[in-house]
Amino acid sequence: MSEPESGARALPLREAFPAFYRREYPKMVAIAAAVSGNRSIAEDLAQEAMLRAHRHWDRVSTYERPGAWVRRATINLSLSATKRASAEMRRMLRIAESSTLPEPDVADDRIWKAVAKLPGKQRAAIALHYLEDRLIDEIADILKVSNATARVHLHRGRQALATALGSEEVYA
Amino acid sequence: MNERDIRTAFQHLKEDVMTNVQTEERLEKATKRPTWVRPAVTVFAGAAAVFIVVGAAVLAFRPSDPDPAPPATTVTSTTVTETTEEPTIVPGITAGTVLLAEFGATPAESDEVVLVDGWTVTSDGSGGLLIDRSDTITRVAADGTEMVLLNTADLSADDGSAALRLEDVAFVDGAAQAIVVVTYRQDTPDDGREFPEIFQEIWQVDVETGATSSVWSINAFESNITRVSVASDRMLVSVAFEGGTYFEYLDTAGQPIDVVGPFYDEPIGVASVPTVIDQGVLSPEGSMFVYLEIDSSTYLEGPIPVAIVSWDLDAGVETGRLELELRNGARPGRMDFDGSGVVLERYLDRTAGIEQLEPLRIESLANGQVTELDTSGRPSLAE
Repeated sequence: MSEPESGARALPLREAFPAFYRREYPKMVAIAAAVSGNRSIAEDLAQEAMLRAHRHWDRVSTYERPGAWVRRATINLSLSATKRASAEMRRMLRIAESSTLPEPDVADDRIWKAVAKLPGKQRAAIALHYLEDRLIDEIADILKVSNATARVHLHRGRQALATALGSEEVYA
Repeated sequence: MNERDIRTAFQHLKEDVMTNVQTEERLEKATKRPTWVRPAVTVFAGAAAVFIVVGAAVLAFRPSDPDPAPPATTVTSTTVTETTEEPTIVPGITAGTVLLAEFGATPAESDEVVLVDGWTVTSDGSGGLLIDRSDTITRVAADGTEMVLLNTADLSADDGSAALRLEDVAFVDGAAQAIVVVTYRQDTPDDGREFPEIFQEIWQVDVETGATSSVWSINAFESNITRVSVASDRMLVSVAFEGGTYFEYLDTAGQPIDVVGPFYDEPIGVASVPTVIDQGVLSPEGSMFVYLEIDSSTYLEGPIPVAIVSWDLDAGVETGRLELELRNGARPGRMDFDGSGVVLERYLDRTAGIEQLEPLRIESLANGQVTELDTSGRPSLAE
């Protein structure tokens, strides 16, 4: 766990948006890349999630875990991005800024292709688990599902990855 | 490949992000723009060319009218008077005004009812109108200026088409936002599937600037957004799907909120003929809402029992229930709620040829007195 805002404690004071942005934006880029499966739009997806947080900052900053809110926004935007029919996403892509994120190397590419084939909620659970070492209750909180549902998403996602990648390792 | 390889791939992603992402540059861009303005550049640039005076502008919306300037018709209660003066389309809309979209009618006005020829018409929140013709949503401001806020021509792609449906106007973070359902349909699926791909998104469109943001979406082949209501920090979405109906309780950014309210419909009688819950509409301050509970078991035979149910979202309890019976084939349509009373659209669905009936007006759900408006059309109650 490396997220100071993601634990059980409440922030003692409302955090300034720039500090929130500096801490969370890179993490949102990584989540967006993992969940959308598209590195070229990950920065724009993360930026849009941060813009929404900024737009609602008076309210979001009072939440106990504003980081959970912006993660949920990033994941929802990233899942929408995978639906090629999203009209808003089409507009976004037409005017997207150039990406600075390199494509994955060949060794990792097979893994990312397997991740991209997972159902959306499983992708999200997998991303939160592997990128941020999130526990089940934290994943459930971010995805707004029960602990049991979050556990199922993560378990099935890891099982599907093991099958797709031909691993003999048994995942818990 | 094993667990370690997967962890390594994710670690590489994190390292790529930390090495390459330009956080400070992006932060500067984010904080320079206090609201979501990126798509507005496109919309507003297109809209700037269509500012014209309202009198002729609204007449231009009439798709079947070859005459761009017919005589205006003034309706005062039950009296119709022909006049050669230019029609005043925006007479100063105040809370409690019922706006009616009368299909095929000449633009007119009265003390209580404003008639505009369009598909749906709603108050813009500051004395003007928003008019929805399915392919465009246009604002006619109180001073008569006009701006196209959304046009499906900007949204459609080569392999699909888009349609718009104006739901409401609400203030979000102090700015009047048109609440629009955008339906995108991919007409020719290219991966061998039998059914086309259809998605619906809920957009908020700033009525002053045209800035847009997409806040919620749904796969519309399986489900269909039937109503969106926004008030205060809350957004209530009514969704129909093959097996029934349900409500989504969200904040204005499209994130779920923790409130207690009705969710799925509760089957009564035969499980395969459920009660339909629909048209959830929030009160102006967002603390309560009303919805329709329709007994669909008599839908084809009529009369249709309909209950207008009041629900306190803060307390999580039902607070009232007004039971109506729609007769002679009338079906319930759009409902609006001003925190006290409602206006309910009624229509006849004579196998696709929809015929509008006079809406019902209930000034106060507390006393339950029901009256019919004098004029038929699709209503919208200005808050």
